[in-house]
Amino acid sequence: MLRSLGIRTEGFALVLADTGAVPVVRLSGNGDGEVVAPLDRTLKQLHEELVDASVRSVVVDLGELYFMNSSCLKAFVSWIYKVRTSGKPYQIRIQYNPNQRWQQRGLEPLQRLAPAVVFLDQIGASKSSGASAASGQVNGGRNG
Amino acid sequence: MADGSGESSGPPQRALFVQLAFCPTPSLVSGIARLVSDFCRTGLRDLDVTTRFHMAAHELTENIAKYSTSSRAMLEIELTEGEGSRLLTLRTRNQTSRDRLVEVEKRLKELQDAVDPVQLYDRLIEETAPLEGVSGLGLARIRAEGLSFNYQISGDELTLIVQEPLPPPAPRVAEH
Repeated sequence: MLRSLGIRTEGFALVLADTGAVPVVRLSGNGDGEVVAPLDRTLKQLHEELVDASVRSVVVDLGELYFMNSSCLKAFVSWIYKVRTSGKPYQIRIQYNPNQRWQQRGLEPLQRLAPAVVFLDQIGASKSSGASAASGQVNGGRNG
Repeated sequence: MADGSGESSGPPQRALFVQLAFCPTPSLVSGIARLVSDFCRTGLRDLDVTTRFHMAAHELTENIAKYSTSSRAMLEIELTEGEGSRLLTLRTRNQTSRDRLVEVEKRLKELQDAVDPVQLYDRLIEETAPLEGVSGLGLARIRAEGLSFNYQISGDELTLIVQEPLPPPAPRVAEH
């Protein structure tokens, strides 16, 4: 069983939305410079817990994430590298929002870094039809 | 003056621009990037270009907030129209240390010379993956997303120029 972990700031949130056999981590808001340190810390903690729990895969839901800077992407790179080189690798299934045009472009390099670890899944029409997810805006939300 | 700008000669007609002087501080980064994306949305109505310039503005302004050695920096976003073409230019200017200038010029030359910017970005990701506390991916990310990258160095002042040639606007249908 995973412990509760997460980040909540004025413009960004990371929550463990499901702690079952396939845990779901949901990111929302704006991943800017103020988020880098807590994100890096939280992903390290998450990795340790996922390894301890012997999970086979984890879902990362980016449906409501409006932007991620390169330092936040680097936190993901570090995480993926750890998974790739650990003795107990698991799948990271990243659900991206096609209406947030930066996401697929920004995430494809992560998949190329570890094709056996990272999988990109486009969020379906029903999911992306929500008000903010469907807006296609790059600056949605307060800090987006 | 070091100059890798390659900015084209001949004065195109200025169509739309915003120039902003700002204090380099992390708390302003997101707001400035939002201003750039609002400008692009207003002037272009092209979501792909808007999101790439939003990203570029965010990365450049964040670097300025990290490395600027003075309390004043400048950002300009400009849409110009020439004969049958348009050009979107994002330009930032700030003062920084000699060490930083040497480091950034080396990186910018590497980006300019890259035959395949995506491959270079992937290589940098691979190289930095095991390193703690190191990103250094922002400039390469901008280049990998297809934006052209130029620079000028004058004394301790660094000017970065990101450009995207755009097709002419679609002709408007006359209303009767």
